[in-house]
Amino acid sequence: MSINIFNNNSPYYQYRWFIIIFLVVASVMVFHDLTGRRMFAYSNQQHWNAKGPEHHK
Amino acid sequence: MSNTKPCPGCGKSISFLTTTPAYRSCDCGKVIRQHENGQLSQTRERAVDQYPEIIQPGTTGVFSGNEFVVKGRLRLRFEETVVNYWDISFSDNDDYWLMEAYGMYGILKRNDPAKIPFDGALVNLTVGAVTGKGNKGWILESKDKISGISFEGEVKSREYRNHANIYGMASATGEKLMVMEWQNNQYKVYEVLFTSFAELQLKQLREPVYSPDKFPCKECNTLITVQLFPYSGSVVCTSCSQVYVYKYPHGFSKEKRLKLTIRPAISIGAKGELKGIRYKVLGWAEKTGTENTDLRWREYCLYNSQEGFAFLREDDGHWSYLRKQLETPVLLDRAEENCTFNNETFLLFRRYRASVTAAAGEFPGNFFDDTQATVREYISPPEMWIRDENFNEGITWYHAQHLSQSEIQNSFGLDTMSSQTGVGALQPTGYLNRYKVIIATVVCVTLLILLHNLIGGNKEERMLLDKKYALTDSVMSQTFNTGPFELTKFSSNMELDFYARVQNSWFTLNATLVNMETGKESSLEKGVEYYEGNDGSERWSEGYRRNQAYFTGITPGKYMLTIKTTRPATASLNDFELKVIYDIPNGVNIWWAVTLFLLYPVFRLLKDFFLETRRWNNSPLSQH
Repeated sequence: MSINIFNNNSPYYQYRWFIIIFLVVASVMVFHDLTGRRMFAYSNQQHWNAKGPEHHK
Repeated sequence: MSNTKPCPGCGKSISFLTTTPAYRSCDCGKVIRQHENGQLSQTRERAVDQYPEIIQPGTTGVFSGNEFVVKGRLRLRFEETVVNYWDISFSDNDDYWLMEAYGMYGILKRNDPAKIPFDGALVNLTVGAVTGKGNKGWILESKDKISGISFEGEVKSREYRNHANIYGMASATGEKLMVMEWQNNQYKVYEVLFTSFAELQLKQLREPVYSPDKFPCKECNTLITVQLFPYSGSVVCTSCSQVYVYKYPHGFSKEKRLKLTIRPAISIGAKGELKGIRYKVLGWAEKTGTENTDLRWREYCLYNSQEGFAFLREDDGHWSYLRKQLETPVLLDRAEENCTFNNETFLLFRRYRASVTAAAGEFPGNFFDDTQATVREYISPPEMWIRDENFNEGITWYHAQHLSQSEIQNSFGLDTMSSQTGVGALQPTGYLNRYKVIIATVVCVTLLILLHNLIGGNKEERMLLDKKYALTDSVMSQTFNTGPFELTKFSSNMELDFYARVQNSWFTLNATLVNMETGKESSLEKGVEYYEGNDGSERWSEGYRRNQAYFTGITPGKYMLTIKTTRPATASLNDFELKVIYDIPNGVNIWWAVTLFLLYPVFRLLKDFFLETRRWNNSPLSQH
């Protein structure tokens, strides 16, 4: 049984887009969860260092 | 233990594998019977004299982890087909057969005659007879009368006779029985266990030896060669389209003459590989619906010595690959609008009767006796089950799979292909039935939630600060310093949850998080406001007194937090509460993830709806 989702003969072929989109969404979510970030949250958080502001919202 | 004796027919030595009653073919062409007392006698039966099969006495194989050896075979001829029943022996039991024909393989395991679900004499039943209801129902799928028997090797002893009946039955749960009636009303019942050439791991095979049947065409005198005799039971003269059908024991006899001819996309004799199987094209045909002449398609008969016969079907430029199957759906009521196989539902797409209007080459069985056959096609793209109910052949099922034009073109080395019209019955538009879309969506959303909770479950959620700060009445803006805090995670966040009991006023909190080691600062500003009043007799309110703000992407280090509060001079506010929590799970992430993911199944359902509407426009039985 082929697990290559792009192989016509694989039982997972018909679910390939579900799998790809799930992996992309899950990766983005896991990245944000692990780093403590919030997806699509436009906070008014400004960053400064000794040289001055380096990022504006 | 074998025993060797002289053949009663020719006098040469003939060896039986056992001393128990059995039949054995001799090289002289006679079939010799060994009786209970060890005596040999010559029977009226004949030995097999054609060997296009690759299985032979001595072939070994594996089934359910157990090894077996082939001792011999019965080759049974029926009205339209020829089927081999190979006598096989396992180490602990030899009452098994390996049924093999046209690429289908099945192990027949001896069963109890009490298992027969039908009452009364089976000979009185007609194909399609049903007994029982629901999951306990059974249907008689085939009733075949033997018209010729021949032997090869050594076969267990039974009262074999011509004109005996073999019945095929199927239960609603997919179980199949084969019943052999060698003597009137005495039944040998076998459970059919499905298998395949690959699963059997057959060894000690032989090279097929073809013994073509040749005869001159009675119309144009062209020499006709039937390569796969006796399995090819019908042939069409390539010169004049005269049809011949094999009628045992007389040979190929003239039937109708086809009036039309077409130019096939794939020539007879062409070779190509499909699904990993190397095939040769034996024949082609064009079929037309008898009631709906708009229904027209082409079929190509393919053959492989291990996998048997298959068909390619081309319908308005859409191709599919068909094989007859032993393990099939079972429909007790032919009026059902769908069938189920392996938990997948197939919808009735078309039903028709068809006749062959043009053909050339050779075909299995009587390919031209199909005006009596009613065909039903059930689809779940890219697959289809075709149910063929025919008075002579009984109920047979074919499994079809979609093939792309490029697969056909590459397999057979074709330069051009006819263009495609519309959406094919099996054309994969990426279609998934609604049930599968819903199940896949639920599984993926569940996995997202589990992942999010798994990560969230490992968060520290450390309370850094939980304090009430007093505010001085006369001062609009005040600053408070907190910390230092030691933050250790490689990247994390901090929640500032503050509450101020404002009344028709507002309150703003400006927070600055300073890394005491690097000097890097992050700052944010958030506020609360709350207003209420009376509008006539109705009370209204708007706003909120509690809010949250977040620092994200905080690297490890020692930090302090500076809080600056601002409120209007008229605000009557004595204090505010502040909680600072480090490393918290972000609930908003799972909501975004699920929302983003759900866009796809919604898009799929809409897209499939529009595409399936186009597909089902080709069906007179639209269930869409």
